[in-house]
Amino acid sequence: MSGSSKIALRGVKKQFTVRGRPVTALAGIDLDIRAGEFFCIVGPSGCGKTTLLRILAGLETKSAGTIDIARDEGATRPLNSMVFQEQSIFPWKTVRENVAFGLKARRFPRAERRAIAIDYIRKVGLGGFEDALPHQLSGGMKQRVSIARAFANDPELLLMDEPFAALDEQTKLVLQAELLRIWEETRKTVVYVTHSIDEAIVLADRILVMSARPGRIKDIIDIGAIFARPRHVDSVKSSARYGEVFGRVWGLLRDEVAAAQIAEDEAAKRRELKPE
Amino acid sequence: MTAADAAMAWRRRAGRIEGQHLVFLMLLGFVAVFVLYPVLVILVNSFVAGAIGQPRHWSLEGWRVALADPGMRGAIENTLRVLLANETISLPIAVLLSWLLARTDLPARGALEFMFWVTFFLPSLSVTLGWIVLLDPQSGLLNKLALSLPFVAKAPFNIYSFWGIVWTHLSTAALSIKVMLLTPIFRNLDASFEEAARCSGAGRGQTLLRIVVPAVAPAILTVLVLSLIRAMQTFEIEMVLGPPFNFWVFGTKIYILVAQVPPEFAPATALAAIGFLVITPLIFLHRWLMNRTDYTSVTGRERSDPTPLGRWRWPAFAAVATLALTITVLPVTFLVAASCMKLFGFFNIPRPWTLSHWHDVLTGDFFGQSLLNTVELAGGAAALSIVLCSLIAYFTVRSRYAGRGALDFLSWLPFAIPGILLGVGLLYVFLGNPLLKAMYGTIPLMILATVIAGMTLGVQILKAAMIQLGAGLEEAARTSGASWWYGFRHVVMPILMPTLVLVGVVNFIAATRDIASVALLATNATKTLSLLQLDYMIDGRSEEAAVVSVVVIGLTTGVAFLARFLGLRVGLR
Amino acid sequence: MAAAFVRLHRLSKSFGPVAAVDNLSFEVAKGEALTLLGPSGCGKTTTLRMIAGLEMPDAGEISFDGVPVLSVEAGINVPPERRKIGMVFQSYAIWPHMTVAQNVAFPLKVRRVPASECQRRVRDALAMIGLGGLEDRPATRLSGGQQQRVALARALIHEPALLLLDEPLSNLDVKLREQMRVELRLLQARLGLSLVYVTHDQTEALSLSDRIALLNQGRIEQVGTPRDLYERPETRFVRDFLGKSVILAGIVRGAAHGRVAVAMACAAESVIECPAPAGPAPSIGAAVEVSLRPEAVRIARGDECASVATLDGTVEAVLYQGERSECDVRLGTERVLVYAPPDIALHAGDKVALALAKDAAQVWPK
Repeated sequence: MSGSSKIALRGVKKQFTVRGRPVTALAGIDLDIRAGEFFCIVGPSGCGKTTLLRILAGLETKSAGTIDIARDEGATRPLNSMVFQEQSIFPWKTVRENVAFGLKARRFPRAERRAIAIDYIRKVGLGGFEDALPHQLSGGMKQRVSIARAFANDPELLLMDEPFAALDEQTKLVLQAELLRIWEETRKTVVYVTHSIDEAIVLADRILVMSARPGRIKDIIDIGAIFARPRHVDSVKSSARYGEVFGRVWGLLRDEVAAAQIAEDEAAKRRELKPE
Repeated sequence: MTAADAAMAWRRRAGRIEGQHLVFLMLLGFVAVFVLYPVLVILVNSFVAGAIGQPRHWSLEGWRVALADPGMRGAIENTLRVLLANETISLPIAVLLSWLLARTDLPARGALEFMFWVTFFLPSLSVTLGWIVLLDPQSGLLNKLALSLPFVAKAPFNIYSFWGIVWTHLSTAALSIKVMLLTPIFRNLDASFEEAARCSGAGRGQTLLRIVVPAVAPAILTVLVLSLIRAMQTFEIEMVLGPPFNFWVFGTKIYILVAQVPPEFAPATALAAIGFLVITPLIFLHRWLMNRTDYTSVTGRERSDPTPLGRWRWPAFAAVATLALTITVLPVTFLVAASCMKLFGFFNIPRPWTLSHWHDVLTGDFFGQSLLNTVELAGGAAALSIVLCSLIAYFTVRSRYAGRGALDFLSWLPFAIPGILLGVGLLYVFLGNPLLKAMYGTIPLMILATVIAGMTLGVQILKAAMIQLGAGLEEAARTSGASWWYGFRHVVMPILMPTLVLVGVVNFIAATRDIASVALLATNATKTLSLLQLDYMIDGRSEEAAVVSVVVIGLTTGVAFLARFLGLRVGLR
Repeated sequence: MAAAFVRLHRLSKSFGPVAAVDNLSFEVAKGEALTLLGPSGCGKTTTLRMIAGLEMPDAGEISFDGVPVLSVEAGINVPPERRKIGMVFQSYAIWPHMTVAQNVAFPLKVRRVPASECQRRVRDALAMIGLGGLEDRPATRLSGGQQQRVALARALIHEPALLLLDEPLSNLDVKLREQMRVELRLLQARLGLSLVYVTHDQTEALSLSDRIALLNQGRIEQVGTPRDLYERPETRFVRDFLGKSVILAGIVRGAAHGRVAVAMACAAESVIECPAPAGPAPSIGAAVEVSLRPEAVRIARGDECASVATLDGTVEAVLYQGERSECDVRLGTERVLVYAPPDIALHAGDKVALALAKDAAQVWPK
């Protein structure tokens, strides 16, 4: 884990207007994410974690605050690539065309595109499926394509929004292990949003626990100090300290989840839409 | 992190937005110039007396005439009477039809729905001609048949009458457009509403009246408002059927004022301004209705079996089929027959059938050129409308620019402008500008007019599709490193392909049969088939008009069938 | 056993080539709560909808209280509005253009009950489900839990003898779900309703039902009380669908008097005596599986080892859960889940002896 700050957020706020009423999704985030760090964000529904990620991705604008990103020397690589929860691979393109999409958009020569794409397709375990179309793939395979595409772009930052949430338990475990394996090769800075405490503990160097809306930083837990890398999913989960760490994170989260629940009930009574 | 790094990071981000920004501004500019400017020109000119090219001065003369002249007032009154009759008859029938087609086990309901769709695409001028064959007071076939009965002394049907006009409206768009818009709404209704009603003890009829209709009432209201807006612009039918008994409506009155010699622009534009004042609040009402939460859409469960009609099944089928055939097949069949007759409408002369009129028209001077013009116009309109409507829909739905509200409103304006006035407005714009003057009398100007006329519908269709499809794939493209324009071309348009084709087809057909928008913009060399048809009709050459009519019908329905065959889904499903 | 109130006989329905419901037969007694349980696609919702009359089967018969309401062969099909049922849908199907009172009163209005009586009964119904005072609330301003109760009140107000529920609690959050389960049970008992309930959640099924019918691919795997299905599953599917199991391999050494002796593969000297499986007795030397619920396996205390048959193993991992610990114990080449009470402190690497409640074990021929 290197020490320099890759992303520095200061006072980042985000406000929406829903049906004429202002809703504060993020209420002032101050945060430093280190280069090469696997940074997880957990929080209750509606806490703004996805909004924060989308601001980092450039898909949303912030209402206030600054975000400074330390670019690499030369800065020819794209800044970030994002992996979504669902529905993000192009249904009319083959697996290879999907993975090579960003490369083609940046005008890489054909031979180089193919080579890179095939390399990453193999890395995510889809060797042999280069010419398959998405409708022929299972949910887990589609997410692998999405990951391969993001890695193939070789971005400085990898942003992931609950990429495994829609998959069944077993596929989830397998893909988490694979993600760790591929990430170990390049050690990119990753910002990863999830609902699952299990997943965050297995994957993260540090975990940010967010409060219920309006989203603030409740606490940051250093996982890297407890579980060394390279990390194996099985050994983490059966480690003696796992339960203790889980308890710590859940303890922080539990009150926020309850608070979020109450807020949702009230909103339902007033028939407001729930953004996010 | 150094200042240079920060600057580079910011520039990179700005660079991503720039291309998009530029396109948006160009789009806004284009729409403002070709939509807003003609409207403003019309409004301004309502306060000006004197035609183009003559000395002009400010005056309220036009308004005075428009408001005080009994002929004008009569026109407005007539418009309202036709509208009232149309809506009160067609709306309940359309609701019942849509329910039958979308939610019951009516036999052949797929084919019947398609027939109503075809009706919408039939050119109204051609259908009017077909009804003239049948209902003309002197030579109409049905009248002749009725007179041959012993107890009938006088011809019972007269198409040149108020009810003749209303009937022709019902036979063309009034009913079919409602059916086209309501059927998807009924189809998407959450089946569990009806199932809950039936498990609570309500029979089919009760369920329909007490549960289904109230639940879709907001949607029905929306469709009604839309129909009202369109009704204000009605032109072709009244142009043919109205003058014989001195019956004028809003659209035809404006045309007459502008097309007569010397033209009276001031009262025409004043009348148009009055029209804006009426239609614009309706447009706001429509948009407000559309924006309310729609709580009738499907929850995502599989649909249940359709509601069985039991012993009403075959009677309902007979009724619906008869209706569909009457408004579609009947007039068209007789139109085709009339085109093969020596004398239009006279079935009882010796050897009434001939193909000589077909021969004359097809080899005549104007036909070949008109056909080419029509295809060029329609093809160009289809292509331009796809690009324009998709860009407008995209920026309205997905972007966050401050100007997108204005863009959205501008996309609705063409709907409020009667086609004839769009022609006038564009005429003013192009003739009044030295750069654009060269384009007067060319097909591209006509393409522009038809694309603008059809813009509102195309944008609405694409907006609905974009909202439904969601931004996920496009965001994936952007976060994979594609520029905005790359993403638009390689991801947004491919996803929307079926809808784009639908918009293209709709515009192709609309341009083929358009008369009002291009009437004032066409010259002899650029005349289309529809205009040729109108010319023949006004000249009294009904047989030739019938031939051209049939060709136009062939073209429009041919494209409609082709689209259906290629698997296009009808309506906004 | 009370008389059958609902009887399904050889019901079948296919959607295209797929048989959603395949020759299904079962009965529901008067006043009984029967749950149709199973994974998605097993045919439980289709069966429920056929009972309601919302789907038409391809073959079979359904009768209520001895009177056929559907018979494909005889051409009888009573439409849903005349079947005298109440139904609660998964999406609640509360009519958005009506108030709460209008929604609940609808079944009475349809039956032409006079207005004053309607009002009284609606008030009582709302009070019964805990929504008293909300008569004039528009339906669009109700929370999920409130909609669910309105749907329930509407289904019950015309006093049907049969209530059908299609996963009514799946859209509610955990807290509310648990609360509604209890309330439904109480309501059913108080009104003497027959209930057919569809769910994929086994906890719900186990706690709500008098009997459960577990469905798999359109067929019934087993029908019985929750205890029957949990403690004595008749097929592997039932065993694996409900709860967790400890499964050990073994070889049959002897069979007599309705019991078999199985030598456990994980500890060849240990021979366990279990109840014999249904059907023909397995032959000596046959390979079998022995399954137990985790509660039937416990860590033997030091002084017990002589008197109780035990299996020796090593603790691989301990997951502390508060009220108990879940231990991953290795027996020979197999690993099993064992619950340890809080007063036993275990660590990875400890040697333990596991005592099995033999009578709770089941033998499954491989």
